Amino acid sequence: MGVGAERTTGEVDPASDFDLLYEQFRLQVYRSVRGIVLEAAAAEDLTQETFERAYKARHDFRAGASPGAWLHRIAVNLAISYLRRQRVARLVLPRLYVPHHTPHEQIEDRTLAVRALAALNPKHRAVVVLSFYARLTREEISRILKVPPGTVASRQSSAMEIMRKALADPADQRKQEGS
Amino acid sequence: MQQSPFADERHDQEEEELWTDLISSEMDRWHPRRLPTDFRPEGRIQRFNRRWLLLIMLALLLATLAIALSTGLPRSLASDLIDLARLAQPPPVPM
Repeated sequence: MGVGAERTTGEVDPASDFDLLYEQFRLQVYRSVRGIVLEAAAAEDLTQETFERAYKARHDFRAGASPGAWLHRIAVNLAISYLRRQRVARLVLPRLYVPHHTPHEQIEDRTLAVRALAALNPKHRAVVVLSFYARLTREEISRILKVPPGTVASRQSSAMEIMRKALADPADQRKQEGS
Repeated sequence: MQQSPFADERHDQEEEELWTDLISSEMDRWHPRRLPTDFRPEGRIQRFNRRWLLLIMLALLLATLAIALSTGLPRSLASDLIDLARLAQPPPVPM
């Protein structure tokens, strides 16, 4: 269930009832973060960090805003920063770089959805997760990612194309190319 | 034959629904292993730890005092300090 669906069941005020907010959004935030970083252990750490940051900033939350979108803004920024740090670590310190995920995870989790998500860059992945999983509106996604709604739409459209290609059977592709 | 823009829009919508189903059904199966079910902010943990640290230090201090009193250590410690003070004093200058 996405954040959009959750919104109809009533809003939680982070300032007055943070424990309930955590209970309600813990899994959604974890899954969204994992959808972006594609590493289970890192996603748990980043989810914990998301809620810690949200707790510190809970009095800044604007009444009437969507708590789900607010949490996702913090989570997505943390996830993208994490991937950026990982990329720098891979480039600068290739010998010291240790990925968070285990080989078991790499093999087990390569389902269709993960294969499709893995084909995308982090920015496209964030749009896909926020749109298809968290079910946020284009305007909410544009505010989270600080890009115009048109950019969100074009990223979503190109992400779908990349995912479609990633899931296409290579054997079928070869047949089509041959004919 | 040219396709109507409405047909394109419908096709896009259908594709979005397919991706939503595929991605959501997969992601809904993801469950964290270590993430606590109750929120424990860092601040709360630190306050809790600090309180425990104070209690432990107090208990250690009391235990040390109890041992010192039962073994008569304060008396010997006091006499040692007096001896040290005497040694530190400059010798009397002969008149």
